[in-house]
Amino acid sequence: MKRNIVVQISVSILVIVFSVSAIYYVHGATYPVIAGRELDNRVRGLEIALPGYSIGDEQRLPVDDSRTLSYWVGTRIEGDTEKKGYVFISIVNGYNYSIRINIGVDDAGKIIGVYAATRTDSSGIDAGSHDNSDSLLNGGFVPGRSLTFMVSPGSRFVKQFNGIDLNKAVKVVDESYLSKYFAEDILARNSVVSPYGDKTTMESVVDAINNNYLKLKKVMIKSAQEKEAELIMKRKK
Amino acid sequence: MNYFDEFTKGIIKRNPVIVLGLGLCPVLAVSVSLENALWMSAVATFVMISSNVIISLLKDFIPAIIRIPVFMTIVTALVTVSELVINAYHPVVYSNLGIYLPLMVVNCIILGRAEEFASKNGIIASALDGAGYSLGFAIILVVLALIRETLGSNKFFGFTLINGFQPPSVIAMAPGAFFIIGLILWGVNRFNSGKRV
Repeated sequence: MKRNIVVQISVSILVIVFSVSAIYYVHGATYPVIAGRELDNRVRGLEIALPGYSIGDEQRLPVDDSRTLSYWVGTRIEGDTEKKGYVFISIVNGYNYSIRINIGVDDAGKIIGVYAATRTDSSGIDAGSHDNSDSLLNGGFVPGRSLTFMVSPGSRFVKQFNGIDLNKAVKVVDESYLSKYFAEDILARNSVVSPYGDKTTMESVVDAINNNYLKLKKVMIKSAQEKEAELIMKRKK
Repeated sequence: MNYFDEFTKGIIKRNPVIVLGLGLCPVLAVSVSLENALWMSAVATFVMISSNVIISLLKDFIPAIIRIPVFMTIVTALVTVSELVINAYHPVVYSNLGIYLPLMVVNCIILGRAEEFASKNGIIASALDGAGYSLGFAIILVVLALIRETLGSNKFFGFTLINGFQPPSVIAMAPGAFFIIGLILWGVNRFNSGKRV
């Protein structure tokens, strides 16, 4: 009886040790590749979200006791004035895993760039709609639920957010109700179009963007007030 | 023991997907494109052959009472290793396979073969059994992906087949996968019942 227990424990320990060692070894070999790629994506994601701006370090805005909102402040010189832009991250629970998007806004609250850092939504069933990222404007429709997250700077998902004014309500329209002629009109009305069958996820994305923007807006207002105060001080001098 | 039979039984006679009805979840989910199907097949083959060989090697030392946790630990390690390698070197494939890659840990074909065959047979027979079953799994996965990608997306390995053709996209969606696998099952059952008559 005792011998059996010793054998069972020994075999279990051996199998666990070998399994963990194998995972540890492969993790060690692959980690630099994965971490390097993630860092590149992070930098690229910030540059795409805030094109033409020099972007500072990550800053965190406390949302509640446990959560913070990550954002970056970018600056750009236009003539003799310094323009500010902001990038914030929105993370939404999608159909499969989370969806992480960098949103770049100018100091007036207009979206100037969007970058989907992770594309993990509906990667199994119905994946592949990323291939049809421009299908709406071509008159087709996207089969599946994926939010066109193989995002290149020119994909429809990104394009349709550019120019959206976050100070106004952003609406989501299901693309199955659209014709290609109606689509561009809808985009002009501060609305975004969800891929076919994906309205709920798209609404979550838009809600997260709106909520995070409202939080960031306080920082933007404070920054604008400081800038104004600085200008007044300069004039007084 | 006839090694040829051990290898071929999982391909046709006891095909895990269409005869035993196992592993349908990844088959339906990943068969949207041929590339995904081939990668999933490769992972399944690697994990199934390796786990069968390791379990066959250890079978005399694994007490019956703890065999399932031990099998699962081995399969988990193999799947995690595959996942890490694919994530590092083929990130697009990794994101396309998504949750279905780690879910291979609980794939009933892999655990089923470990329990039913590898834990009772020798190394060569277990390796051939794993190879045969994974080939059977891969054939169905690739056939389904071929039908869904060509008819549902008008594509072959991502390349457009007929310019301007709007495919019936329902085939590329989840219901399409069920329809096609249903048709394949019907065809196979019909063929088998004809043979019996």
